Amino acid sequence: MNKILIAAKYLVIAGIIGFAAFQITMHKSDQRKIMIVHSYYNDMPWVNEIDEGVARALDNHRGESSKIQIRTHYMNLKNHPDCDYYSNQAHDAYLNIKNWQPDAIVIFDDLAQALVGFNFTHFQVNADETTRRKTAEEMLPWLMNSGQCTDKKKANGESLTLEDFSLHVTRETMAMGEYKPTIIFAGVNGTITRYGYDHANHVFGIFEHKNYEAILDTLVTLKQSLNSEATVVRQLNDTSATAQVLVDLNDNGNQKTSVENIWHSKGLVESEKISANDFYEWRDSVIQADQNNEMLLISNYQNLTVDICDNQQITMFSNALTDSHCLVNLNDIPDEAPNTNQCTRFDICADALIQWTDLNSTQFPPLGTNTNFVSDGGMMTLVVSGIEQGEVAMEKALTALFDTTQTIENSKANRFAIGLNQSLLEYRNISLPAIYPSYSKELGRFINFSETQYFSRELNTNNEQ
Amino acid sequence: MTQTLHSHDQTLRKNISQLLAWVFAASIPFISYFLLININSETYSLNHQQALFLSMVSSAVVMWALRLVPDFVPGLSLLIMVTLLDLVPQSIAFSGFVSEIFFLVLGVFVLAGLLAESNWLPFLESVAFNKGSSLLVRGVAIIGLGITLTLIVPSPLGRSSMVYPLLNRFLGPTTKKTNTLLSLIHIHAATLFSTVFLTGNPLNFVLLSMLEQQTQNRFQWLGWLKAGSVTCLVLAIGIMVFFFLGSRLASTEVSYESESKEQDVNLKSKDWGAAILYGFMFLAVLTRSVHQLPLVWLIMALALTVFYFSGMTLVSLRQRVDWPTLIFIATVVAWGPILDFLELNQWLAKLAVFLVPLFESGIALGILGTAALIFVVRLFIPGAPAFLLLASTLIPFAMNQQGITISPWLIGFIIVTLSEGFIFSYQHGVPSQVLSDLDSDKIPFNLRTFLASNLFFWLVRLTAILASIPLWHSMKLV
Repeated sequence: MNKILIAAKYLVIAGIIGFAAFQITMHKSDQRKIMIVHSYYNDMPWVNEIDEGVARALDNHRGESSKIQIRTHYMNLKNHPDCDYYSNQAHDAYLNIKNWQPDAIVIFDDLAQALVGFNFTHFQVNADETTRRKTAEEMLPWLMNSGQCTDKKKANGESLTLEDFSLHVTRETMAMGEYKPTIIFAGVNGTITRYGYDHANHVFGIFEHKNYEAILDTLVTLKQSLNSEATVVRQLNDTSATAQVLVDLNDNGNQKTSVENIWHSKGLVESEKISANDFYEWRDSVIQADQNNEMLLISNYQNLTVDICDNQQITMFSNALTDSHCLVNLNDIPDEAPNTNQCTRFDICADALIQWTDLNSTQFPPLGTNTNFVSDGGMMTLVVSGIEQGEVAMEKALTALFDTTQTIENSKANRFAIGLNQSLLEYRNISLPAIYPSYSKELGRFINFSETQYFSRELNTNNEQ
Repeated sequence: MTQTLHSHDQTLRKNISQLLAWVFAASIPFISYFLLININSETYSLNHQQALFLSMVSSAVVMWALRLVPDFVPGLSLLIMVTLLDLVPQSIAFSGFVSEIFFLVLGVFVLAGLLAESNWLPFLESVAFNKGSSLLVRGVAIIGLGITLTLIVPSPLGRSSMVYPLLNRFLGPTTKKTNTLLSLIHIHAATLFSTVFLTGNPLNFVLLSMLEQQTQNRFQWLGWLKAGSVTCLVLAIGIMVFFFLGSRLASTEVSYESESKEQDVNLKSKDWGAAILYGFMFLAVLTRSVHQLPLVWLIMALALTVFYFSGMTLVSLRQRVDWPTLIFIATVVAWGPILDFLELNQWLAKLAVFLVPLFESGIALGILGTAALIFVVRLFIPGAPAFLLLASTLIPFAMNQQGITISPWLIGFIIVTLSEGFIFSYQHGVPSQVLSDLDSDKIPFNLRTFLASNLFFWLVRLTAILASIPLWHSMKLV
């Protein structure tokens, strides 16, 4: 009898545990999983802004919060710009996604689209393996340039393969079978055709294109305040990945026409863009632009280098390197000497470069379109809001998972952060409309930044899907 | 009379050295604060909060290194200090106590306690003992039991004390060589594999807690074992080779008589219950890709099941769970967030820049440099704090240093594997415990062989790591 009672007691206990397990199983099977993949790491203000936007979107959907599981994956590619690391991180993210099988992957910034998004993109039936391979192969040179590859293979003159970047081409190596997550892209500066997204019907997102209208309006405002005659605008960048996609985009037929119309309506002309290979080219471009009274528009400048070939100067510059191993004494850099084998390549400090550029633009202040431009010593910058990228991307992911009746469209960046350096404005005697300084004084999380809405008129020729 | 004087002398010496040690621990924070705050270099200069924190850490390190108090005491004191001095918000300082790692270790400790309570060990002991007339069977039994327990008991010291009764029965008063060989095999079988299984060592969990969520997900139980598989294989070969070479020397000794057989131990339903729980645990580990539940909550649930089915009494819970280690882990898990908050991780990472040229000229060279660093640090600092200091420096180094492509997990794995190694008995709990046990049981033992073989096993560890490089390459971890 006692034995029966004890057995019954344990049966009841087992029942309780069983029911708890059942409830957990039911709850979990109801949940939707979202993987957020960042190209960079959370030591960058841009990434923090995106994460804040993601949090905002989730906050808007508090009712669904128990139905969502989120994991965030930082690829940390900014701190390790080399091909081996890209490849390792691509593989790591691939494994993580494969093991967890999220329902949606939200991918931020261009590098992760190539290294992660592509591997999970199902090309539609009319696009066979050849198309897939072609897309992957076309991504290679772009990846290598952006990676500043210190890869040994590249140093030996060998070219890197798809395998080196963990790009999966065949169905077998994709190993995904029927697994087809919704992919949401954000922070894309160029086109999405690069990543093969145009061949798929499960990829949506938001672009990070610079809004020309907003930028040109700001240039016009500056021009009026300076009483300047300048009409020519020149984009000056280094040769890094994002700078290149800007160039690609503007060479893209339809897009270019619509942009040109806007330029025309503002009374401005765009002259040829410059992607400076080194500091010598940068310096020449800045001086030239100043002489011709051109307005400089600067996005990417962090990867500029200079080759010094004179032994005495190499010693001098080596001794003058900062703790972050870059050069600040830009005024001491001599004229470009013919390249010999004994040249040493030095990195240029980003802040020194922008301070130098601002100082040597005597007629018209360069305008930045980069988050760090003002903290690096520039006068004014107009940047796409990371918060919007995060918020909109996450909204799209939630819509795709919970509101399947709604069709999702790709969208464009509409919100901007304005950065101002008040003292440089005063130095140049510029008085902007009250709205600019008031925003810049309304400090956000970063020096001289605040977020504002800039409603641009839709560019109606955008056909990207 | 002379003896009294002698012991009086000893006590006096001990008291003087204790006093000196405490004076050192008390003065080091002042000295280090003064030195740190006056650093002029742009790269290494620190603000008041950072210097204050590091100076308090220096005092903790001295207390750890000189073993003035149990390990968890300096750790917990540090947290209380940073909270009261408002260097870090309380939620960050004590984050270790609410972290998943804390519960994971607690759960595994409870399950291991259940195993220690059960009749499984006496059962295996009697089986091994009844069959254990030859040296070969004895050695294999000790190695096999050591490895098996490494799978499920997360504390090297706990494993060693669980196997010690069996070892003790294998040893004889006249067979010095055999004693030495079997004791060495026992010491190393209990410690050698502790880092290739996630559940083999509490420090493995600490390492996991120091990594990003994405890396944690990849290196749960099976992922960890996969990356450590070649290391595991080489270590196993190492210990087998050692045993076979050693047994040739030992077999020249007089063979001991076959011991009298003893009664078999009977297994009870409780023991089968423990086996079923472990079965569930491994099932949960192996089917993780299907159920996708975090390991920590599954293990906690299994640990609680023990109590639902009256598998363990409160008395044995108090005895069997290594509470000091658990508290120690909770205090050190907060180090990562604290260093993050004080922005010290970048500073620490910069301390390791001297490794950059080594890593750039080849991963093997980089690993050798790291190994040398670990070896030196371990001469002075006990395993857990040494791991903590090295990992807080080298993990941010692997994450942020340009040109370094080694995975943060891997650098942590190398640190934990090598810092588990030891040459002298003071460096590790297991050898010092076993040596003192042998001493008190008056079993003869050769100390010189002990030191030489420890060096051998340290080199086996290093070889195992170097031999794993091709695997890590293919897994894209380097």
